[in-house]
Amino acid sequence: MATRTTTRLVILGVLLVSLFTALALRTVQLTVIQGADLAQAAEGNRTREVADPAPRGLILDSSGRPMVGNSPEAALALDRQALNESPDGGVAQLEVAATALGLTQRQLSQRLISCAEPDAPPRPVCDDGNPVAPVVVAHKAADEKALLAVAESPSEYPALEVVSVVRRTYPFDELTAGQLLGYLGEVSGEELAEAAASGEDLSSFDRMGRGGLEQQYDAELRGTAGRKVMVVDSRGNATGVEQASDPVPGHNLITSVNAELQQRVERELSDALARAGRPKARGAAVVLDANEGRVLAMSSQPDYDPRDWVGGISQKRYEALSRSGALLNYPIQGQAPPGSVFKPVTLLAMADEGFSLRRGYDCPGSYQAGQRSFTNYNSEEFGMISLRRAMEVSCNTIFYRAADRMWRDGGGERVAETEIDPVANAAAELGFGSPTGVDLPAEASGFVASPAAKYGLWQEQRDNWCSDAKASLGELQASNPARAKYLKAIARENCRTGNRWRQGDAINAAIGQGLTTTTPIQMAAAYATIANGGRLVTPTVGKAIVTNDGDTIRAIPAVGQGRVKVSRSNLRFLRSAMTGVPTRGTAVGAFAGFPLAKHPVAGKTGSAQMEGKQSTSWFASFAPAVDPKYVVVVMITEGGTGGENAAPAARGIYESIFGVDTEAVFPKSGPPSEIPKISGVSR
Amino acid sequence: MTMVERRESGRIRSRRQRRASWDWVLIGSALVLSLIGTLFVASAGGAAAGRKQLLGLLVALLIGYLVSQVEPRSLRAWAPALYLTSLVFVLLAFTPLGIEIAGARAWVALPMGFTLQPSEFAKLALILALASTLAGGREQSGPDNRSVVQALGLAAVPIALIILGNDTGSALVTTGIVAAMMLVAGVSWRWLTGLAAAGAAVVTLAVMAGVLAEYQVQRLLAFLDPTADLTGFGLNTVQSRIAVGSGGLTGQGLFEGTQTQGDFVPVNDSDFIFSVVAEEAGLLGALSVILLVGLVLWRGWRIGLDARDGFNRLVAVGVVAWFGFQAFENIGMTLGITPVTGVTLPFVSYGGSSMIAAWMGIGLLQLVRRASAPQRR
Repeated sequence: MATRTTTRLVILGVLLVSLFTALALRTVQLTVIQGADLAQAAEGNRTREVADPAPRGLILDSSGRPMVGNSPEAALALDRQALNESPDGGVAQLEVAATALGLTQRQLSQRLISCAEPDAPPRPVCDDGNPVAPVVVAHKAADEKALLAVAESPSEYPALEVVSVVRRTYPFDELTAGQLLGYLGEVSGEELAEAAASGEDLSSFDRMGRGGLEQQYDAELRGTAGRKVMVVDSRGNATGVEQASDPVPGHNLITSVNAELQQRVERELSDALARAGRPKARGAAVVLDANEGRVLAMSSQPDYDPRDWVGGISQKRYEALSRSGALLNYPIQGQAPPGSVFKPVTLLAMADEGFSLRRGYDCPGSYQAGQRSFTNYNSEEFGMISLRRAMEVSCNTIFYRAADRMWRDGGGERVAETEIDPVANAAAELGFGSPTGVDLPAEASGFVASPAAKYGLWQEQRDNWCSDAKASLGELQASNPARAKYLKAIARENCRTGNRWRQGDAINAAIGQGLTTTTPIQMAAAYATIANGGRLVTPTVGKAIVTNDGDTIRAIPAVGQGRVKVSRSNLRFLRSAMTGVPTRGTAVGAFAGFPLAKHPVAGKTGSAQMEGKQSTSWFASFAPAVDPKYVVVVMITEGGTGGENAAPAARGIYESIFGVDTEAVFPKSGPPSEIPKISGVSR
Repeated sequence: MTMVERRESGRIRSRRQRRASWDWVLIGSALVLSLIGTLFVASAGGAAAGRKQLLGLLVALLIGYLVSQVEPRSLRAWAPALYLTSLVFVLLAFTPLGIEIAGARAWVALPMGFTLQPSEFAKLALILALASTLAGGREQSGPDNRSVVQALGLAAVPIALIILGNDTGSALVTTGIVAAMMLVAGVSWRWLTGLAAAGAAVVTLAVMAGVLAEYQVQRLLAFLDPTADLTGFGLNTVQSRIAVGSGGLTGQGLFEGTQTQGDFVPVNDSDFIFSVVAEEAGLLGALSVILLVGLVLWRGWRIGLDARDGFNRLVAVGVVAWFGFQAFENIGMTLGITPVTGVTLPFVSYGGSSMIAAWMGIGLLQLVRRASAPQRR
C-alpha cells in the first residue's frame, strides 16, 4: 500500500471520526444537559392554557329582580406579538378582526395600545393589561358569523382567537344607576401581578368591577375562571382537552335597592337638574331605611349608563362622560357646604350648651358681629319666635347669635388650636367629617370646621397661601384688577392669620357655611339617626351574598354604631320641629297638594351660598314624621334654594314610596327586611 | 437476504470466498438503519408513508444488489455515459417536468405520481466520473494538472446546476465529495489549498455581489442564532432542538413524541427525521443511528483502503465521503450545529430516490470489495 494514499485516507478517516464525534457529543449535550429545559419547552409547545370564564354573579334588587344580568358573548383575543410577527405586520388580520367586531381599524388599534406606551389613548380605551398577554376585545356590533369564520381557520389567523366573554346586561330599561352599579373593565398588569403574589386566581381574560357595587363586591361576584389545557399541534389546532378545572360561578349580590324606586329617584333628580337649568349643576339623591341605614335608592346625576361600558367604551364617549361630571359619584363623593340642613346639628350643640329649646328667641333681619353683618335669607325679620318656628322658616340670626356666644364662651380667638368647639362636636357625633363606611368605593369624608380643623388646614395650606399672596395673577391682574387685589388680600390674610378661629368662622359654621362640607350620604345617615331616635347607622347597599340556588353565603348586616350621646327628648324636639317645614315652612310650596296628613314628612331645606355661583340646593328629610321609616336627602349644586329644587324632587320620591300618584313601592310595614328567595333566576 | 443468498448459492464458490465477498457488517448496518428509518417515517409521516418507504427499501435492495454485480471494468467504461445521463436528468428539473419543493427545483415528475430527485443520482454518476478521471495518476505524485482541471470541470457542471436549482445542501455535499476524492487521489497540497482559498473567495464574492438571495444567506446563518428569526428557518432549528432535547435518555416512545406528533418540527419525516428518532427513542436511539452510520463509513473506508485499483478506491472514497458529509450535514442541522439545508439522512429519511441512491452506494462499495477480494488472503 502506497504511503501517500494511506496518509490521505487516514486524513479523511480522522476528519469523519471528528465530525461524527461532534454529532454524538452534541446529542448528549441536548438530551442530557439541556434535556430538562428543552422538555419543558416541548410541553409549552404542546399545550395552550385557555381560560374558561366564570359567569359573574348578578346584582339584584330587594325583591330579587336582577338589575345586572349576564349573557355570553363572543369576543376576540388579539395576540399583539403574533400580529407583529406576521409578514404584513398583522394588517390583514387586524382588518378581519375590526370587521368582525364591528369597529373601525383605528378604534381597534387604539384598544391594542398598552397604557404604558407614551402616546397611548387614555384609560379605559388603552389596554391596561399585561403588555404581552392577548387583548380581549368585545363589541356590541360584533358579527357572530364573521367571528365563527375566524374561529374555524386558526392557521389563517394565528394572532386571533375567538373567546367567550360574559357580557353584562341591564334588564330594567329605565334604570341607569351607573355610579351605584359600576361597570367592568380589563384586569391591569399591576392587578395581575398582585394576584399572582397573593395566590389569587386571576387571569387576563377576567373582567374586574370598576366603580360602584361591581368594584365593591368584585371578589364575590367574579367567581373563578376555569382552566382548559388544550393540546394543540403546530398550527394551533386543538387536538384535545387535557385537563380542565371547571369555572366557579360568581355569587349573586342581593341589595336593599328597590328597582322601581331607583328609577323614580333617577327621574326626579334629572328633572330637578333640568329645572336648575345650569350646565354645571350636579345632583345627588339618597334614600335610606331610617332604622337600619339600608340604601333603598341612590342616584348621581348626570350619570353614566353602565351599558356604555359593555364591550368597551369609545374614547369620545369617555371624554364626554368625563366632561359632564358623570364619572363622580355625588352621593358619596360630592362634598358641599350643607347650609341650613346643618341647623339640627347646631341646635343639638346649643341644647348641650344650655340654650333652652322651649323659650323664644329674637330673629332680626341681620346680626352684627364686629364689623361684619350676617343676614337672614333676603334679610327677612321674624321677631320673637320659637326654635321650632326658626327651623320652619330657616331663621339664621338666632343661630348666629348663639354661635357668637359659644365662640366667646370658648375663649374667642384665644381658643386653643387643638379645640373642638360644641357645634363641631355635635357634627362629629352625628358622623360628619369622616366617611360613613357605605359599601361603595372611594367615599369622601367631608370637613367639619373647628378651631383644630382650621389650624390643621392652615398647616397644610400655609405655604401655598403665602406664595399665592406674593405671586402675580397674570391675566386676571390685567382684566380684573379689583378681583385680583381681593384674591391676593384673602391669600395674604390666610397666610398670616389663617390659623385663627375667628368670630366669623364660628358664625358661618353654625349655619353650615364656611369651611364645613358634607356629602349627601353623610347627611342621610345623620338624619336617619335623628329619625330613629339616636341610633347611628352605616349605610349599606348590599344585603346578602347568595348562590345561584338562593343559598345564603353570607348576610351583610346593617352595622349599627351604637347611640349618639344626645338625649331622646332633644331628638324628639328636632323631629317635631322639622315636621312643620313642609306644612308651613320653607318647603311648603314643594309639598303643596301632598297628603301630609296621611304621610307626614319632616325635613329641612338648605341653600348653601357659593361665592360667584347659584346656591347649592338641599333637602334632608324623613317620613313618616312619627316613627320614621325612610330618609330622603337630595342635593343639587347650583340648584338655587332648597325649597325650589331639592324639595320637589324629594316630594316625588315620597310619592313613589307611599304610593301617592302611583302604586306604593313598599308595603305599609316598610321596606322588606328579609332576603328574597332567588332560586331559578336565570343568568 | 435469503433471496440474495439463494442466488449466490447458484455460483461455484467456496464458503470462505462467499463470506469474504459480502461485507455483512456494512450491509447489516445499512439495513438496520433503513428499517429504523422506515419505523420513524411511519411515526412522523403516518402508516402510508411507512409502507411507501418499505416498498422503496425493497426496490433499493434489488437495485443495490444489481449494482454490486456489475463488473468494475464495465463500470469505468460506462462512467462518461452515466455522467451525461445524470446531467440530463438534473436539467429536466428546470423544464416543466420539474417540481419545486421548498424553494428547490430538485425534483422531476415520473409517471404514476412518482418523483425523482436527480441530484441524488448525479452524485453517484459524478463519483464514477471523477474516479475515472483522477485514477490515472502515479502513486507518488498524484494526478497530473490536466486530470485535476478535467476533474474540476466535471464537478463544476452538476454543482452549478444544483446551485441554480436552489438545492444548497446537495451542492455543499457534492463539493465535499469532490474535495475528499481529490484528497485521496493524491492531488498535491498546492492544488488543494489553492482550490480551498479560491472556493472561499468565490463564496464571499457571491454573497457580497448578491448572487445569493438575502433569504438564502439568512437561512444558511439561521442556525447560529435561531431565536433571531422565530418564524422562518430559525424555527426549524429551535423546534428540532427541542424535539431532540425532550427525548431524554430513552425517548418518549415510538409514536409518542409530542413534538413529532404535533408536527412542530417541519419536514420531520425526511430532512428532520433525526429529531424524531431522538425524541421518541431518546439519546440511546440517536447514538445508535450515529453509530450505525459510523459503522457504514468505517466499512466503506476499510474497503477503500483494501482496494487494489485506484479507480475502485476512489469510488469507495467517493461513496464514503458522500454518506459521511451528507449524514453530518443532516444530523448537524437537526442538532443546530450546521446550516439548515434540504439534504436527507441516507437510509433513514423518507424518500425513494434517497433510499435507492444510498443502496446503489452500498452496491458500489460491495462491488469494490468483491473486486479486491481475490487478492486477499
